[in-house]
Amino acid sequence: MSSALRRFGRGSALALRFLMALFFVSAAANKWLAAWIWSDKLQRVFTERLAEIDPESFGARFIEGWGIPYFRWFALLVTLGETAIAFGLLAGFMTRGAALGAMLMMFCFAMGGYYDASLIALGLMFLPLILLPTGHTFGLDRRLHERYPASILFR
Amino acid sequence: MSRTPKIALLLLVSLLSACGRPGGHTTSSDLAIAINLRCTTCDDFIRCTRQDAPTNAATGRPDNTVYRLKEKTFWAQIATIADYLLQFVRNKTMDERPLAIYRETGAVRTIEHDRTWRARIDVTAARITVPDRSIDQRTGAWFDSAGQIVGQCQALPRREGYALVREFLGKPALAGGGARP
Repeated sequence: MSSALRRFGRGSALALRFLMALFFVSAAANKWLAAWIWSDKLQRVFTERLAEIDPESFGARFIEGWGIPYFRWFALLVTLGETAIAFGLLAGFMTRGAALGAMLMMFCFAMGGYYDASLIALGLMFLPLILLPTGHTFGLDRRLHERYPASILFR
Repeated sequence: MSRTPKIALLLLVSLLSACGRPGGHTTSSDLAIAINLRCTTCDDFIRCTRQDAPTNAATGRPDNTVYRLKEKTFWAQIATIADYLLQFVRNKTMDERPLAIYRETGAVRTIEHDRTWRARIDVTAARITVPDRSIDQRTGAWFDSAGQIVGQCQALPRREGYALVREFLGKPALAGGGARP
C-alpha cells in the first residue's frame, strides 16, 4: 500500500473517531444540561415514547416493565456511559473499548423502544474504531500501550 | 500551527457551540396538533372535517379526511444523524413525512397514497402543509390552497388511527386496539 493511501486511511479513521466523539459529546451534554441524573426527565421521555410506539412491541413492554420503574438507574447509566464514551473517543483513551461501548449502547437503544434506521448506520460507523488502532494517533492509547504492552485495553 | 493545536481548537469550538440555545418557536404544549419532529418512526393521524360536511348515517360521523403522516423512509431515518449532530448550531424547525390520505364520503371510503406525497411540518409557522391543503397546528383550522378556512382538524390518538386504518382495509378490530395494521 502506498504511503499516501495509508495516510488517507489513517486520516479518515481519525476523522471518524472525532466525528463520533463529537456525537457523544453532544449526547452527553444534552443529558447533563437537562439534569437527567437528578430529575424525572427520563421518566417523561419514556412516557412520551410509550405513546408513540406500538404497545405490543418489545420496546413498549421494556419501557413499561423496566424503563419507567427504574428510570433513575437508566438515567445514571446513559449519562455516565455517554460521558465516558465521549471522553474515550476524544482523548483516544481505551478507544476500542469506548467504540464497543458505543455500539452496544446503540443496540440497547434500538431494543429499548428507540429503534430507527439511523441506529444501524451509527452502529456500523463504530466498527472501524473497534477494528483499527485509532487511539494510537492523537490519543493516550499509544503511550499507555508502550507502558502496558500486555494490556488489551490500549491496543 | 501544527496539526495537534488545530484539532484541539476545532474540538473546543465544537464543545463551546453546545452552549448555544436553540431558537424559539411555539412549544408543543401550546399546539392543538402537536407533531414530534424528532420521532422518525411515528405515525400521526389528523382528522379534518369540512364545515358543511353532512353526517354519515352509517358511521354517525360527518364525512371526513384523515391525513396519516407516516414514519420516515429508511434513508430519511439515516439522514437524521446529521440533524442530531447539528442540533446545537441549527435547530430543526421543519420536517417532511410520507403521507397517506383516508377519505370517508358517505358510504365510500378511499385510501390515497403516492410515494412522492409529503406532509411538510413547519414548527416556526406552526403549520402542516399537505397536497392542496394546510393545517394550522395552533387552532386546528383547515385551509384550502387559497388560504380560506374550509373546516377543522384534530389529532387522533394513535390507537384510534390504527383502528381506523384497519377499518379502511376491511380488517377486524384488534382486542387491544393498538397494534399496527
